[in-house]
Amino acid sequence: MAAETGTPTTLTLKSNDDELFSVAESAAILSVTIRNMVEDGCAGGVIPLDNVDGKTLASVITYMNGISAIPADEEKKKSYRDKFLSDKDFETLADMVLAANYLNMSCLMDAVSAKIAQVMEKKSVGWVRRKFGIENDYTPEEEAAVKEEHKWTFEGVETDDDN
Amino acid sequence: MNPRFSDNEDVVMEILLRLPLKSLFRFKTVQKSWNTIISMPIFAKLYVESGRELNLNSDFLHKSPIDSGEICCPKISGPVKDLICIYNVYATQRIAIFDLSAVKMEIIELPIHTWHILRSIGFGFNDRDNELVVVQLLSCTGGIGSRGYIDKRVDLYFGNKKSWSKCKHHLDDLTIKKAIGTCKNGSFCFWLVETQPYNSGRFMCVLSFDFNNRRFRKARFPRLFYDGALDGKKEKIKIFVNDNSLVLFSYPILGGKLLGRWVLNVSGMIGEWTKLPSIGPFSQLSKPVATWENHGIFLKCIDREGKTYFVFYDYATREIRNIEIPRKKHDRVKVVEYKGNLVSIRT
Repeated sequence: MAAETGTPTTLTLKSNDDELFSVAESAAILSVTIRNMVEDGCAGGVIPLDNVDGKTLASVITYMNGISAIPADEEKKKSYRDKFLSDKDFETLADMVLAANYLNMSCLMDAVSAKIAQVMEKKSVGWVRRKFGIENDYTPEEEAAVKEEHKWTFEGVETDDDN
Repeated sequence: MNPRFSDNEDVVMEILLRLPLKSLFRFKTVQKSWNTIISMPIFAKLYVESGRELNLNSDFLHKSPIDSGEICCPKISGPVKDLICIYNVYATQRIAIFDLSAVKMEIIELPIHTWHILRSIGFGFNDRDNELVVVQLLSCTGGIGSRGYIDKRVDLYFGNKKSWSKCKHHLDDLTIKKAIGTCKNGSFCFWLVETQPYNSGRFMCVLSFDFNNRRFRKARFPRLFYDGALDGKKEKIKIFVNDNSLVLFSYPILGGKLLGRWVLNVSGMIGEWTKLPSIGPFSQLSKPVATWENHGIFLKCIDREGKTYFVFYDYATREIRNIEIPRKKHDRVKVVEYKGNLVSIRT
């Protein structure tokens, strides 16, 4: 262990498209999923992360390194998270929220969910369906009835910007 | 659902929990499963616990750099386009604009003045650039001006520039009695005022402010209430804004009778009040407190033991329903507007 030898332990993570990443154990254990694997002694070789692709994992590791380099200062951590997420598009955010959920990283999960909510807040129902890949399963009558009940919420919706 | 999200309903829920209520209601139409998630009692519980409920911290109303010993008398104005304004009648230095749908509060500093004043606030929007405009009416209560008039000052706040400017007016012969509110499209707001023309009796009228033309205007009451009629002290009146018209109720001070009802279309404040069918009769002393569009009216009643309760009167069915309002003993009740509920209410 790092504490005994004085040199930081490095873990190797493998994405579902077989990319390998090295990351300091101290940063990687922000993920409860990885921490459990380390504690169970599965970290000897390569840790396979079956639900995360290489592109997303690279991003998550950037976050892990960035946030763990900040001392215990919630303000600074928050501003790092805001900056980290500021230039991400919806697709990337969606990949990240699912990865954060799989890796069980509550701080990233909170930040990305809030960011997605902020992005979709004023969007149309159609935009949300497209971005989440959701098929409308209402009949036109049912949809009209639900819409009628909350008519006021359709005021002030942004014009779709994705097509 | 996209396999990525369909296998992860808990992730969808995490995201939904962070949306404002207005978006949540709209996204019930995305898909049946979203409607199901949003309508679950556990979702409402988590939503409230996450701190997004309306928790109006009114501390700012008490803080005043001028006079720390002042009395706090908060008023709520709105909602207009999901905004409500909270202010203090007395000389506090700030007001709050609260966005009901985004659950956000903005504090606006008021222009500094040195009078001892009474304040009334109205707010609305101009059509052209949909800019938030706040009107502040200040009345000097201490120093009576020449000829016995009460001094007035009017300030306008422009939301885009985030700045105040002083506004010319001809309101010096008016006493502001009460703010009535803003019409639904946001272009006019109203006050109940009393005029004191030189050397003549007082009479009540409605003062309007037009947010598009930045102009005040007065409209008289229905003929029945002209001049001394309200001095007889047998009937009182109460005015509300309904959509884009004003509705006026006259109610007997001693209770137990019918309430008269009149409407006036507010566009330009011209034309006559139209008399509508009276409502009631109510068995107890009843005072109108709020209206719900064209559906009905909420009344505060006092029973023989002096206990206060609230009823809703339906114009169409003439039915009177008791309403339970959860509140603490000294809480004041202000009816704002019903928009919808997260979980369906079972009857």
